[in-house]
Amino acid sequence: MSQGNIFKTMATLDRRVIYLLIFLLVLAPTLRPLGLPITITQPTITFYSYLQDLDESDVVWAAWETGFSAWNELKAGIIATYREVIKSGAKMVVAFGTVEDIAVFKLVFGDPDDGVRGILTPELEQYDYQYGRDYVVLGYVLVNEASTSSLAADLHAVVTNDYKGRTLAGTFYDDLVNAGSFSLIIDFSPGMQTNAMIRHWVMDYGTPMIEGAIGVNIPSLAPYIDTGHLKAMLQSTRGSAELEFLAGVPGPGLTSMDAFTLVHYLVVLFIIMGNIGYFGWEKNAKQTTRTAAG
Amino acid sequence: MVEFYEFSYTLVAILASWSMYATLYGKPSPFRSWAESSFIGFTMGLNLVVVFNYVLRTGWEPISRGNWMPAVGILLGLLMILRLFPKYSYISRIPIAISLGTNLAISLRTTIFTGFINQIQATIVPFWIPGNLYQSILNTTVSVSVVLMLSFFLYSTELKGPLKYTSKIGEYALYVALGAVFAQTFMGRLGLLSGYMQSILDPAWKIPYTFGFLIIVFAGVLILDRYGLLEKYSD
Amino acid sequence: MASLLRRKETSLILIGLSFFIVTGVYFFNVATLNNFSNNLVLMVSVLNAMSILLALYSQTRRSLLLFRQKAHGWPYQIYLVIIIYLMAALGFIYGQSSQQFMWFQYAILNPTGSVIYSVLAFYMASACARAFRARSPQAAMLLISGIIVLMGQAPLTGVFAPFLGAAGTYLTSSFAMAASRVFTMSVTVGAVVLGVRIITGKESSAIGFEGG
Repeated sequence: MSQGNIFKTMATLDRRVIYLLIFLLVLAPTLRPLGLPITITQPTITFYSYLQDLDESDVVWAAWETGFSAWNELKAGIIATYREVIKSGAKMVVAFGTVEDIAVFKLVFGDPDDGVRGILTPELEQYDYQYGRDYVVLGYVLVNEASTSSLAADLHAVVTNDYKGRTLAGTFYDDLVNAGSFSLIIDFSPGMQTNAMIRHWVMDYGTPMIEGAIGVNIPSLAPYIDTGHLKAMLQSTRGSAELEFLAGVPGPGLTSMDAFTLVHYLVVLFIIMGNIGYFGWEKNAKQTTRTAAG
Repeated sequence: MVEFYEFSYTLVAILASWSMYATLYGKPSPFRSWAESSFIGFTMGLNLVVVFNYVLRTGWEPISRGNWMPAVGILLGLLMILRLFPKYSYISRIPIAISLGTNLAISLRTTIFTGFINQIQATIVPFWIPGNLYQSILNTTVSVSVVLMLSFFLYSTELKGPLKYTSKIGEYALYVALGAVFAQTFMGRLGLLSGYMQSILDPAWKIPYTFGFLIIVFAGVLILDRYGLLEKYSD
Repeated sequence: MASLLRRKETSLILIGLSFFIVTGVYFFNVATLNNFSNNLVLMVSVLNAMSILLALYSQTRRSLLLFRQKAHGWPYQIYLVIIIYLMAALGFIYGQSSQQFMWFQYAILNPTGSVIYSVLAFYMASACARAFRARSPQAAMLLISGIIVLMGQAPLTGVFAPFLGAAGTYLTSSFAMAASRVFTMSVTVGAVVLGVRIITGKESSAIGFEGG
């Protein structure tokens, strides 16, 4: 094979080869984990510290906004986070920001009424974390900015029943008034009502907020960390894996780090290879033209 | 022993996901068309139910507590549908106007602070922090970059003199930023890919079905392509 | 009455009234105004949620039109309309948290919703190999920065080359953050300007009138 052809191959690598390589590098470590080491970054340490500071006297506003599209990216972080909340004994009010979150929530917390077990049901049983006493689910209430701002101002004016239509009277929800009644906001979101909560919950009432962000949103939410509106940000799957490591409960996040590492290096290789191929091919083409003309 | 409920939806999910991945083949296929139509249809049906329940809880139930105003929102929402009928579309301007005015009031009051004033405050930071070289470099880079990038986006004045150089440096800083943003975006998408692959490979009972449906879907696509039937049976 | 509703001034008065009722509570501490403002916001949240009906009508109409015209792919349109109403019926009959309703979400929405976005990872990788070329100094800077951050993001890098991890963190915490801040500020200014123009009637296309 001539030198020109090698460069051309490198520059015009078949898409299907690229897709196949990505698939293989994601599937293989998932089936046979390599156990590559990871390092922990400061943002995750800060996020974890807010969870560790929770205790039984705290009430958490848990905003679930991932839907299915961001669930698979953030699930490790969601599971690790709410495991810590359950362990701490803090009360929790759950609100959904997308229509799919009822199903996502059921995957994690199950449904005691229907006998459905979720991923965290063992922890719910271990720490006797009960619906009604320790946590309530308001349902799909973070519909738009208007509803988010209404909730911030007066919870009871907007929601008096839970997501199954049962009254919330007689639960700890009675003691909550507005956004200022909460010790912490935990938001996992691809950006649905995050900005609205920053504007109406954090800015108006000073409630600290920590965020589990998808990769696409990290740059747009980073300025809010700097301004202090967001106290900490869990950065996509990598941050979720780090949180699992810090919490000492390995899960899907850590398992996917092998694939993470390999595919990242592959993509860097693609960029370098593509450019070497392109410039080598172009240089060869110019030399060939000069030779032909001369 | 897996329950039939979980087994059944897992099988359909694996089929649906490989059907969607058939997009990577590069040509339309009936598998992909089925998966796309299913996604749109089921999403819309789900939205209908959940939003209806929300409207009932938030708009209708307050009447029992003596508060009729949220229920007016239901009426106005129905008026908004008249937008689709040219003869009566002028009526839909009422709910749109009320919604616009209210949403502007809700968002403008706070966004000026969170999106502008607080951002400027966070940019005006000390360039030198004794004992913390990294933070000093970071502060300097952020503050200078923000100013330089803003000068790049000045379109209403001719960029000459010092502005010419600051906008050029700002442009380079922006490209560096875009490279970093690209990498973070890729990380997010990869996280989603690896997270979803895990969910169809764990626990181990799913593995044969995952690979089985992979073979079925891609063999189906290849066969249909071989006989030129892909376009015919897609949308 | 109809002529009154057709006038641009009517819409502008409604926009202005709504705006001042909601913002007025911060200037006048009147319990009635406060109450009315809260209820107005609640009312608008219900109103905004009902825009789903517009989407439903548009989609149903479009699908039935394509079916009547026997356009290419019409069976998928009929399938789409059927499953919209089937899913809705299931939800209304069994309830939104019922197992039957959840089944379709786990079977269809979870995989398709995830794959739609994860496919972008493949396209981005393909673009890296086939399209990203350092043809200019700016493009070279983009690529170098991207490579450093990609290397830094790989968890293993922090173990054997911590300086790359630190460099990646520096680039994301400085340049990327600065760019995001610039975009945030610009979008905010734009939003405020647009909002003021709508309230003062200079941007009437927002309420369905042509021209400024």
